[in-house]
Amino acid sequence: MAKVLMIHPDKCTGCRNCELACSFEHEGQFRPGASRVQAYTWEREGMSVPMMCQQCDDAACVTVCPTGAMHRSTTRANLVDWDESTCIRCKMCTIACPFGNARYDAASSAIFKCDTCQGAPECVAFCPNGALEFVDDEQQVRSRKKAYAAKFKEAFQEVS
Amino acid sequence: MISERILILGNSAAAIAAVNAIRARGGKQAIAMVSNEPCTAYSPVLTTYYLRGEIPESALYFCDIGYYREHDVSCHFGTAVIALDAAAQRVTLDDGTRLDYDKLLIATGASAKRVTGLDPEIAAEVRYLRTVADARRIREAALGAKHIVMMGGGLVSLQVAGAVARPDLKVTCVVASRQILSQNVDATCAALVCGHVERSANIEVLFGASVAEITRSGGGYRVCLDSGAELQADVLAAGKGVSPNIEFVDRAQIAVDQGILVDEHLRTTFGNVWAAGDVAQGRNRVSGEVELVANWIDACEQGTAAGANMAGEALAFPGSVAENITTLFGVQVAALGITRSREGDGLREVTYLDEARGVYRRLLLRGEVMVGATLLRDVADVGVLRGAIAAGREPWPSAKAAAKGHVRYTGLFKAALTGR
Ligand SMILES: Cc1cc2nc3c(=O)[nH]c(=O)nc-3n(C[C@H](O)[C@H](O)[C@H](O)COP(=O)(O)OP(=O)(O)OC[C@H]3O[C@@H](n4cnc5c(N)ncnc54)[C@H](O)[C@@H]3O)c2cc1C
Ligand code: SF4
Repeated sequence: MAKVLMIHPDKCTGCRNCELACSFEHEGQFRPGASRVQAYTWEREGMSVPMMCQQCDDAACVTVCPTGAMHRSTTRANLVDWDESTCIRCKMCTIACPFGNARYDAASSAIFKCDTCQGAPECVAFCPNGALEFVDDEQQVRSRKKAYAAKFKEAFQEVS
Repeated sequence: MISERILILGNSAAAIAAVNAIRARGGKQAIAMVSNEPCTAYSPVLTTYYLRGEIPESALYFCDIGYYREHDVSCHFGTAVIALDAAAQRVTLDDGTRLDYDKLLIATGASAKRVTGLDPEIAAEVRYLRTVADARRIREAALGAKHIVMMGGGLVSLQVAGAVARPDLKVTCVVASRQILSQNVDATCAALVCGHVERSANIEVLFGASVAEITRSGGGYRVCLDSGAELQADVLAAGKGVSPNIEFVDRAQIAVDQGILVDEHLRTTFGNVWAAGDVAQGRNRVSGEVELVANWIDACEQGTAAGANMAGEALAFPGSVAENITTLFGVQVAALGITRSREGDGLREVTYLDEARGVYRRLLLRGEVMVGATLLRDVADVGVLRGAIAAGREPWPSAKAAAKGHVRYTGLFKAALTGR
């Protein structure tokens, strides 16, 4: 069965191990700026949450990509994939994602987005707190993810 | 039963997004599409990459002929719409074809504004960049040229200048205002970009200058400026912004201001006619004004919403956001929302400049919420900033921190997670 990344904000301590694991896996260096997952911390509220590409069904980055480099994978379910060779680095996708989950990295001239490490996410393996999980894409998981996305959507449109 | 007939005028960002939205909803309508260009859909955005020789022409096209077959679209390509009778629900093409519809989407985009006041024969020789055919023509013209005069100093003008300039081909940009990119960024940012332009390419920028007259001279042109100065050129080019393609619209039937007026469902004032993309004029989410916003992302989003509405789903479009991100002479420049502040507009600016790294960032705020951002070189958080500007949220943890570094989070995230 296809798997999806699940976030448990209640368990995240903001230690940023996920960022280190991710950047090492993808770039061979411990550089949080090169990580596809970002652990956000609100100090005053005392809360943290790891964020990465949600592989949206209706992904804005895919809609706006003028070359088709950002596309829904045909070989793997639940993956929005970035094709380095057809990408022209116009950075439209990086504007389109309001959560910053597709970012342009000038140092490597690449678009950084979560690719779930081809099905074996390092962030999950290295999170000491169980705040990240890679689980079967079952109905229950889907609806939790949907509720989470809806919350963001609501906040996004609140003032519009 | 005869299925509903949807007619789409145009074959670019907005038009294709609409087709995708209709078919994604399982719509079985008969869709026909008209484009005055003979080819499948391509992106004008990519023409500058092609001009620079970074991609082959084939890479401009984001739909191949198979796309139209798979989405069951009948194509009338290479013919222009010359008349629309909304009351009769009929469109006339320049080859005499008449197409009847039940629902119509106007997504004919925009064309480069022409320079005025020139001798008509010479005016017809000025090169613009909008279409793939334009790009081919500029490429050919630049081949043997030694000096190109470019009228304008906006994004497209500079991209073209940068693409064609060579050690043996000089481009002179004649710019009416006191800065380049006057429609996109503030004077400080423009000056920083201009430094790059003049350092990295055989380009000269003349400010506060305008063309008084152009006459033929030798095999080329003599360009006389208002100041009395004269330039010799073998190719003329211009980039003066765009204007919507609406010649075929009858204003007595469909309300037009600068573009076709649309409501929040992208519907025009004529019930079964929608408009999306550069041709449409709707509410700007950030300024609150009903104005033209012409960019690729907006065209995609409007096309998606228009398609959904035409397919019978009531999908409100939250409004346009002016936005652009581009690479000029190796430097990333992004402009989001309101980027030009005016005397007495009550906006507060927070800026950050790191000369050593060549980084400049400027946020504009109304009260506590972000309404605009200009980013030079450091653009990694452009999506987060755009999201916050579009939603009218505050920067976080502070505007100063946001201007300085990447906005790792904005009020948008906070609201989503804490409900506040
Ligand atoms: C050089 C260049 C660089 C750009 N860079 C950027 C960028 O970096 N970021 C960004 O956001 N935007 C950029 N843009 C703008 C972007 O290309 C447009 O906003 C976008 O293409 C608008 O899409 P659209 O679908 O509304 O119309 P268009 O792309 O203008 O397409 C209009 C369609 O209608 C057809 N058509 C027009 N008139 C008729 C007629 N009478 N009859 C039949 N068919 C007709 C045309 O053939 C075409 O298929 C750039 C534009 C140019 C020219
Ligand atoms: S940067 Fe690459 S992936 Fe992103 S929109 Fe442009 S071409 Fe597509």
